[in-house]
Amino acid sequence: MSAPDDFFIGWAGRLPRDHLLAILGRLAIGVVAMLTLGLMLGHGIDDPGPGGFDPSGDVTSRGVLTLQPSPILWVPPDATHPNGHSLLLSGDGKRGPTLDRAWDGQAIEASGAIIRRGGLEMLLVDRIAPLPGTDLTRPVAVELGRWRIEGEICDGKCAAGAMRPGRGLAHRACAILCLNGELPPVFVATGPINGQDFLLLADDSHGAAWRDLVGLRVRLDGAVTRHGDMLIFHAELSRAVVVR
Amino acid sequence: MSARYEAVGWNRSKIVYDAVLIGVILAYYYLFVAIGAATAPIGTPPDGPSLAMQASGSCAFLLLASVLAIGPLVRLDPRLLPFLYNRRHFGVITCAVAAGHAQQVLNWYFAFSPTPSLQAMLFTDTGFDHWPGLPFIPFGIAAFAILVALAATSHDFWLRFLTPPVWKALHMLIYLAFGLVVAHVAFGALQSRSQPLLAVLVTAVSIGLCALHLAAGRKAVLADRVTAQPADTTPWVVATTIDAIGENRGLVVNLPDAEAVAIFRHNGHLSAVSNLCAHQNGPLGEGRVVDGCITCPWHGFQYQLADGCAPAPFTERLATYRLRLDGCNVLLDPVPNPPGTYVAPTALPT
Repeated sequence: MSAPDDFFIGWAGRLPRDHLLAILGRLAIGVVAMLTLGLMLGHGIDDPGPGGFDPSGDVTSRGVLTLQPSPILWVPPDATHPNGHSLLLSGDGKRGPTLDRAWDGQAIEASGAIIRRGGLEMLLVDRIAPLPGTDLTRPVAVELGRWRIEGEICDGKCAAGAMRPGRGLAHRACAILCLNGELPPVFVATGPINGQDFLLLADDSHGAAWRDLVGLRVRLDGAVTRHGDMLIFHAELSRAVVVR
Repeated sequence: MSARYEAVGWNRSKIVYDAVLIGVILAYYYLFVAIGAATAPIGTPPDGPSLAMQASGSCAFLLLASVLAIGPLVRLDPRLLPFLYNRRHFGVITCAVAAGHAQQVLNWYFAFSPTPSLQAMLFTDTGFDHWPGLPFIPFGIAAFAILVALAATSHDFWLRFLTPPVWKALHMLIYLAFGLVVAHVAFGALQSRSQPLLAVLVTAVSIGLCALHLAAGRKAVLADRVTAQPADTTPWVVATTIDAIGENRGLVVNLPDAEAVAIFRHNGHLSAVSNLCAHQNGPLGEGRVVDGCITCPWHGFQYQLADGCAPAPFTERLATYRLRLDGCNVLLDPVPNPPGTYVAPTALPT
C-alpha cells in the first residue's frame, strides 16, 4: 500500500503524524469543553427548595376526615400544634387515598410517611381506620375575604417534596398526572398569604378544571377561608390570568 | 472496506474511538452529579432521578451537537478525518444516552400512576393550543424517534439496501432531530431554570453549529472545482485543462443538470468516474489514487480507474465517463456509462 503521507485511509492503519497531532489537539479541546460544561451545568442546578420525606419514619395521627375539597385529616390541637393541624392525604404513588365515603366527617386514625415542605404537610396513607365513638371536631372556617393571588398550581404531593423539583413547567406533565390520580391541587403563592406559602385549591373536579394552568405562573381571584392552619382558596377559573 | 456484513466490524480504531467516547460520557456524568451538583450552592439537592435526567439530557444534547460538528470540521480541516470514520458509532452512542434520558423520565415522572407510563407520557399533557405551557415532551419524543431510526439504519446493510442517496437523505433528518431537541429544551428546562447557563449554552451551540456549516459550505464552494463549458462538438463539453489535474489526484467537474464528475490523472493517463462514492456518496474527486485505485477520502473505498469497479472481492461500481483531448483541453462526454463500464484511460501527450 502506497498511500501518500498526507492522505489518511482508515483501513490502512496508519495515521500521518501531523494528522495525529491535529486530532489529539481537537480531541483535548472537545473533551475539556465537554467535561467543563458538565461540571458547570451540575454546579448551576436550581435549588428545588426544601421539602421531602420526614426521616423519622411513619407516624400515626388521629383526627377528623373530610373529603372536600380534597381528603384532609384535621388533627386536634396538641403540644406541637396548639391551633390544631391539617394533613393532606395521599395514596401510594400518583394516587389519592382509598377512602370510604361514609368516613367523611368521622374521626379516623391514619398511619404512614409524612412529606413536608414548610406549612404543606401530607400523610401518605398506609393504614386508615375509623374510630367509632370518638368525639373530635374539625376547625371552624374563618372567612378571609376575596383575594387576588399570584403563584403556581401544583399537585400537593410533588410540591410537598415527593419529587425535587416538584414544580415548574418541566414538571408540568407529572403534576397533571398526579392531579388525574386525584391528588390534591395546591396553589403555591409567590409570597406568604396569612403566614402560609400554599393554599389548597377548592375544586370539585379534583384539579381537572385547573389542568391547563398547571405549572404556569398565574394570577387567580377568589375567596380564601382558613380552617385551622390550612388556607383554602375558592379560586374562580374564569378569571385566571397567565402571568408567564 | 468489507465484502460481507457483520454486526460491527470491530477493529482497533473503533475500539479506541468508542472507549474514549464512553469514558467521556461517564466522566461527564460523574462531574455533573458527583462534583458539580454535590457542590452546588443550594439548600436542598434535587432528587437522584431528576438529577440523572438533567445529566443525561444535557449530555445527549452536547453529543448530538458534536456529531453534527464532525462533518463541517472535517471539511474545514481534512486532517480530522478519523473523527468521521466512526461517526456512526458516535451517533449510536448518542442515541443510547438519549434512551437513558427517556427511560429516566418514564421511570420517574410517568411512573407510580394508574396510567401506564408510556401512555401517560404520550397523552397526559396535550395542551398544544396555549402558550406558555406548550408541551415540550413531544419534541423530545420526536427527536428520540429520529435518533432511533438513524441508529437502527446506521449499518452498511441498510446503506446498501436503501441505496446511498436515500440513506443519506434519511440521515439528514439528524438536523431535524437537533432542532426538535432545541425546542424540547427551550420549551421545557429553559422555562423552569433560573440559571442562565443552559440558555447560553443552547444558544451558543446552535449558533456555533450554524457558523461551522456555513464556513464548511463556503469552503466547499471555493474548493478546487471547475464547471464544464460547452464544446464545439456534441456531446462533448470542455471539462478542464490537463495541467489542472495533479498526478494521482482528482478534479471535480460540475456538470449542468447532472452529477459532478471526478477526473483522475495517473501514470500519464486520465480517467473519469462519478464523483459520488458508491458507499456513502463521499466526494471521490477529493480522494487520491493509491495503488492504482481511486480511493475515497471518507472511508477508503477503492475503485479501479478504467472501469470504476471496486477490486475483487468487493462489488461496488461507479459510473464511468468518456474523455478525449483537444490540445491542452480535456473534453468530457457528460452522458454517464452504466456503472462498471470499461473506458480505456486517455493517454496524455508525452
